[in-house]
Amino acid sequence: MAKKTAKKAAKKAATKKSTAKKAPAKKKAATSKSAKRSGKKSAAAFEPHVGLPSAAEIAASVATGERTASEVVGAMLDRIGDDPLHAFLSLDADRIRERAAAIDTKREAGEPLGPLAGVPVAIKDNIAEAGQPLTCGSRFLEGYVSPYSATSIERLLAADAIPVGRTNLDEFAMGSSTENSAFGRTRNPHDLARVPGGSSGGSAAAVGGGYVPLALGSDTGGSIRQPAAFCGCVGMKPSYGLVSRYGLVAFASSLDQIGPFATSVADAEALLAAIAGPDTRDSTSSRRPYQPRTPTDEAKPPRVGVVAEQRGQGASDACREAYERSVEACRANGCEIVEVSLPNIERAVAVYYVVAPCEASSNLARFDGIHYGRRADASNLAELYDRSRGEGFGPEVKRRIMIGAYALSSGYYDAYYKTALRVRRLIAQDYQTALAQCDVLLSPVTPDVAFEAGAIESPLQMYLNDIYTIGANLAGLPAISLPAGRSGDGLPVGVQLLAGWMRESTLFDAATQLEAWLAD
Amino acid sequence: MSEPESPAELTAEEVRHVGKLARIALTDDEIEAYRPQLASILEYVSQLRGVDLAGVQPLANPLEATSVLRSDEIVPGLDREAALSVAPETDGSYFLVPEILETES
Repeated sequence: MAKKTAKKAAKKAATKKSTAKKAPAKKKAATSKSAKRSGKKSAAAFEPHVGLPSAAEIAASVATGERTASEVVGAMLDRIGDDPLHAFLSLDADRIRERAAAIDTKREAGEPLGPLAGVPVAIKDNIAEAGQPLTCGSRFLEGYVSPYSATSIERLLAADAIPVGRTNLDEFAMGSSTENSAFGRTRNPHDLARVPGGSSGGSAAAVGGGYVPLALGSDTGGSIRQPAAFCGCVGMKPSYGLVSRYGLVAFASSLDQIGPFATSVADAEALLAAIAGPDTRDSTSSRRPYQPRTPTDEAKPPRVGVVAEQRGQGASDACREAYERSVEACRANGCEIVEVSLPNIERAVAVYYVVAPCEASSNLARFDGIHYGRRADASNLAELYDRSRGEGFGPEVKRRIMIGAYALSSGYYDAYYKTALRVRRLIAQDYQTALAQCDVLLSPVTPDVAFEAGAIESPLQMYLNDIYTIGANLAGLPAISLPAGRSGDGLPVGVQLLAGWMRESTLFDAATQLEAWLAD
Repeated sequence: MSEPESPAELTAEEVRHVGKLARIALTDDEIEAYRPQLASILEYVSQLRGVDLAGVQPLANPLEATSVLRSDEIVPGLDREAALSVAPETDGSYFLVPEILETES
């Protein structure tokens, strides 16, 4: 292959040379541009790895000794290769092999293994793991190594899962395409010219591309569910308070939740079960223990709420059709379809883009150039803050911090922040009313399929990607994105289910059934 | 206080002021780029002003939890060495900063 490339390059150089001799600079520029484009096209040959064992199968076979954890991670590292998707910002292969070997030793010694024994789980690079880089996709934290681990990571290790690498993200989880990473964009496994969604784009691509069976992401306004839809996998945002946020780099604390990516609802549920539950190190972690569902063979078809305001208005044909197909699948399988309304949901994006920036402007004040991360040259303290942050943060992060600082500033607080919080209550109440009439709400998850990198330039236009996902964060409700077929171009399309607070059992019940119906 | 207007475009002075509040040094190019962008976001979110909010209390957090208490026991935390290991500048015992008594002009 190297030979072939070299030959091609030589040929290209020859062409360029002869063109340059005959024609002026204009033609030369055109040649090199088209060469670049064709280079992109040949890279688009990535095929997602399919037919791989599920997380449940891996754990079961590692426990019986049918497979070793070392074999599992060896095969995984082969699949990742040199990471053509750029899903990972870093990947410590030695550490992964050591962890796998330790699990194999444990089994050989006859010790009992945890429920995720030997299962690789890719980790979004805003969830701290001791001894590993933690960049949040930001220049500000380039080179930073976390001195401690998030509760989620400790629980994964206790379950004998294997945390794998640090996945790419929009800087500080602010974005919907992973293009805002300071370290290059992640590619969509189904079309390398397209984005994987965001902000958890690296985790979504790693699962959707078949590198790993499971991944962790964080979801503040749709950052798990939207990329899951774009990459063709399952992505779930738990109820607010179900998963400890300790060790998750805070973006908007009243909205952030860590959650699972998987290739099936069952695997997502298993990953959630491993990380959920009370944690004294997060005061917003709910004190009720998580009760995983005991799946029954004869789950009752759920009462499915279809939302008048979210029936695919303004969505692309592919997304609306996937939604309609899902409604029909529910109806055909005996679900009662209930028409409900969320009268204030149209305001959700506006509420979010006040509340999230306000919380971000406060949370990101900790990046001061003193305690960790980047430090600019400065002669006094004020200059140190201003320059460290000016140099360290990318454009979207600056935009959001400034929107927050503006909205919270003297004279504007009531008009922006307080008003947004009052509308937020109306939205939460709308959900309560709607969910009193049904078990789950069904809606599209994104207005369109994955878009091409660079296609959305306006920040506001990018924000509108979250139109179907933000409501769950504002109200603190659990929601899941499921694959629901493909568009005409062969790109994945998702659909979303949402349930009441701490009604994960209801959500998984419905999602498991819908997943099976859509597969028929 | 009267409702602030949503400006079509922020002035360079306003953007610089917000940058100061946010403690972010901005170049002139950045200020020019942010003027229409910030204004269009503020304009979009100003749709919230039209909502009837009579009697509606703010919802700051979905849990609306009261204070969570725990017993006052000593538990291990991050030790000094680990905390300082990631700092840009220390003397081995403390974080170091440039002089702090000089105020900006």
